[in-house]
Amino acid sequence: MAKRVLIADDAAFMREMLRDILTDGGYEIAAEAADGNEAVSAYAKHHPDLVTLDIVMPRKSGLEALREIIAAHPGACVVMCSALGQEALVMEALEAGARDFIVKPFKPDHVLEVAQKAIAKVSE
Amino acid sequence: MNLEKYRTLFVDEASDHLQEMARALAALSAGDEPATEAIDTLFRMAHSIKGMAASLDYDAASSLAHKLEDWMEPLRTGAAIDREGLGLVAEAVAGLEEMVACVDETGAPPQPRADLIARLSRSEGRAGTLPALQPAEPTPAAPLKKKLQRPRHRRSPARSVSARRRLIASWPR
Repeated sequence: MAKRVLIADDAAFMREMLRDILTDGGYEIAAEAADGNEAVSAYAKHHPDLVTLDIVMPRKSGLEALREIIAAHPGACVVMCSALGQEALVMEALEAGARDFIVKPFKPDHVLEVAQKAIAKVSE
Repeated sequence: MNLEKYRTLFVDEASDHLQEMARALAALSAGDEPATEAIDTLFRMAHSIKGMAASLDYDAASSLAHKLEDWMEPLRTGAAIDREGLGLVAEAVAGLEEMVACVDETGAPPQPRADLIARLSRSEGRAGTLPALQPAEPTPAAPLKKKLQRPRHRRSPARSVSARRRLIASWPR
């Protein structure tokens, strides 16, 4: 059965790009979220196998959303999406429970590799 | 990658972001909303345009948005911005608008704006040392707000390149 992914990014462009990469890679998109609040709600509703969480989002940042998701669902498999220059925030996210990170711009092979490894770690 | 699909998404979403940046600049100038909110909006929009542009290898747009993002970073931690700084941000936003218009009209990657990047680089870090903008200043705020509340940029055949150039030229410097 295809693994289900929640994509959280405030840019529709980025959500579409991730949707294309992940569906081409055999994943199913469980839901999309445009800010941290939506991401937290969508996680509780859909319990996806993987979340891709953008760090910079309005209303509730990716880091805040990550902390809420992990607090409520300690086994959640979350991968952060960051840009160059956000290394400190990525480190903070990894310490807060993120499994891995992807740096934009997205490279399809790398996205799929990170997704597969993150899910595999949870299954171990 | 379906380049045409992503090019259209880029033009539409970047145009929305530039519109939002213009609104935030006007609000910042007039003191219509807390400066932290306006600056956060400007920063997030620049960050988003940087990511989208980089995904399409539009290095010129990505570099300018990145430089603008870096320039605004001290403002997010409480540094003040003066009218000169506001004008520089408005120029950078106008530069990005020109680049998006170029993609929209020609489908080609935009040309670099080394001049703007150099000016942003020269004044980087200056934001924290400048006297704060006084929202209550009676004269420049209103015209600036009026100029920045320009019509939404969309893929409209009715708007000619020259009209768009005039619009961009009307932005405060």
